[in-house]
Amino acid sequence: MTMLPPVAPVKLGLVIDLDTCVGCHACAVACKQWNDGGQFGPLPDERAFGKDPLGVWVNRVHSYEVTAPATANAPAKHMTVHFPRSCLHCEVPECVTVCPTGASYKRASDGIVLVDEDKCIGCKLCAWACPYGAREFSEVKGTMQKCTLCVDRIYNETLDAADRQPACVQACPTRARHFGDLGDASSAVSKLVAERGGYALMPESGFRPVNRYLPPRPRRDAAAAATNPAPAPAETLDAAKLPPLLRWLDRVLSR
Amino acid sequence: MNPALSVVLFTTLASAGLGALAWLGVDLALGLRVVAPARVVVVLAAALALLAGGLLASFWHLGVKTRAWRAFSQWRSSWLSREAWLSLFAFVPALALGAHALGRWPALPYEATAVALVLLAFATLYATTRIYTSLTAIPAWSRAPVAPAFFMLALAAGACWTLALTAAPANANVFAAVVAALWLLAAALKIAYWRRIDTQALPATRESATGLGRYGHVSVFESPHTEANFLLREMGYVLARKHGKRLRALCVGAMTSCAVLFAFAAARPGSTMVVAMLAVLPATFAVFVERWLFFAQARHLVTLYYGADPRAVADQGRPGFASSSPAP
Ligand code: SF4
Ligand code: SF4
Repeated sequence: MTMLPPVAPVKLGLVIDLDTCVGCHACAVACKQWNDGGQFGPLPDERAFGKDPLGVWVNRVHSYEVTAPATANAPAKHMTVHFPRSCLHCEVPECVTVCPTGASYKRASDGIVLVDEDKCIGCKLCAWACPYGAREFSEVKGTMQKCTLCVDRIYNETLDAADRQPACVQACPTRARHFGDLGDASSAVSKLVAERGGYALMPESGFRPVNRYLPPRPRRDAAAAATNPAPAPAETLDAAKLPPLLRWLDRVLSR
Repeated sequence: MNPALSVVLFTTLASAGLGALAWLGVDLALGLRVVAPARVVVVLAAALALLAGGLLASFWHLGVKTRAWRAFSQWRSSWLSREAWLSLFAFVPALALGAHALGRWPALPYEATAVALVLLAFATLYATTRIYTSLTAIPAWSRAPVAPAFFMLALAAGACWTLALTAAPANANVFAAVVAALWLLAAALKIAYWRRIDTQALPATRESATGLGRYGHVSVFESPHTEANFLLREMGYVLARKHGKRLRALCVGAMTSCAVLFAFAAARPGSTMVVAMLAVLPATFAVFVERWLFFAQARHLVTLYYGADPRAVADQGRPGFASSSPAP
């Protein structure tokens, strides 16, 4: 059914911290690994060992250089930002409404946007409709592939409670990815978004993405730090707090 | 956008077929007799063959062809689904009129059926334009001239086929003059469209796509993958501007030559059939190239993540997009 369901109070999604993401691609690899073998798998490649391999990945990590132009009294500033990109589980997703078969749908219960691969005819219209590039077509399967928010993990009672998280969130070594209910203002992810000023991508699309990105914190100014080094913190030793043997040593050596 | 041959062929063939059906419907409903009664079946057969050929081409585009029937299920939200239904519905009055013309169904209220045919042909064409114009992610396609140009070309190409199959049409001079005007109008609309897409920037930028604009200018540092992927092949298809210009010129040239041919036919009504036969080739060529360019030159917003330059093509001074661009 490609009519959009009434807006659900639960909005499951991801919060991605661009401050801590180091661009290691662990989330992308974990995503590929899980979705190749999970309920929706495989996530096939073509000519995996050939000259021009082509494959479906539903999470891709871009890296950008952000340049603040030079001003009268400061040189240009450069910053590298690693930027994972996957489905944002939009609230008004055109990828759903354009689908002629009902394969592309948004769940009423938690807002996850999914493709029912048993219905998809592979017309690719949904991929055309997504401005965020979240859908990739598999020539091998003839159907559309996308992020499932690991719906086969997050409700999976055969997994330990701690493992009921999207694979990408679990894999991230810097904890740059968070999963939760963004429709609930008191959830940990909503608080994080409020605290760090999390934002939606390309809001002018009107799709109202659910996922949020946390902006990088201001970087230390390397040039200023080099010319004007901060004094090293003074070392203090309170001999009275040392154990007796060390206190004695301290006294002997201080003579 | 990748100009997939199947989709380009589909809209080229199906729109010509629907255009021919619309003309035939108008002709029969108003009793103009441009198409002689004995020729109605021939024109109907050709128009339906074009439409069916187009539908077959679109079927060939699908990843899982055996499930094509599922495309009929979501008519409440999807224009693609509506188009599928409407194109099938259009066969009903067309076949009924065919039976009538063959003398099999004398009781058919054929004026009303002809009106139904016109309405369904237009509705199908409208659904096709809506598939494209409703995609936010491809801003070029929601420009104002898209739908009118699509209709003009469908009617103009349909008229070529109709006249090419009709010996000794009545009112041929008027009809030919109308068709000549349609070709000129179509060419003007396409030129207006190209001007718009060349001079308008994308409605989003790399900065808004990533949300990093608050820190400065965003350029690509490293691509997420070393090889191509579906997104780059399907959405990132970029045509060299050199070819784009030449193809546009060829397209407008073919449209104008059709207009000239029909202007000639308007002056010499006896010649319409031969002229229309001559025009079928440039007409099909013009629509095919126009559709190809419609895809190839439409920029998709996802290309911003891969470093596309959101500025208007006319302002970029270089073809397509590079992986990064200098700070403005
Ligand atoms: S990011 Fe794209 S695929 Fe995901 S819900 Fe939004 S429009 Fe659909
Ligand atoms: S590719 Fe599949 S999911 Fe996407 S619009 Fe077509 S049928 Fe729907």
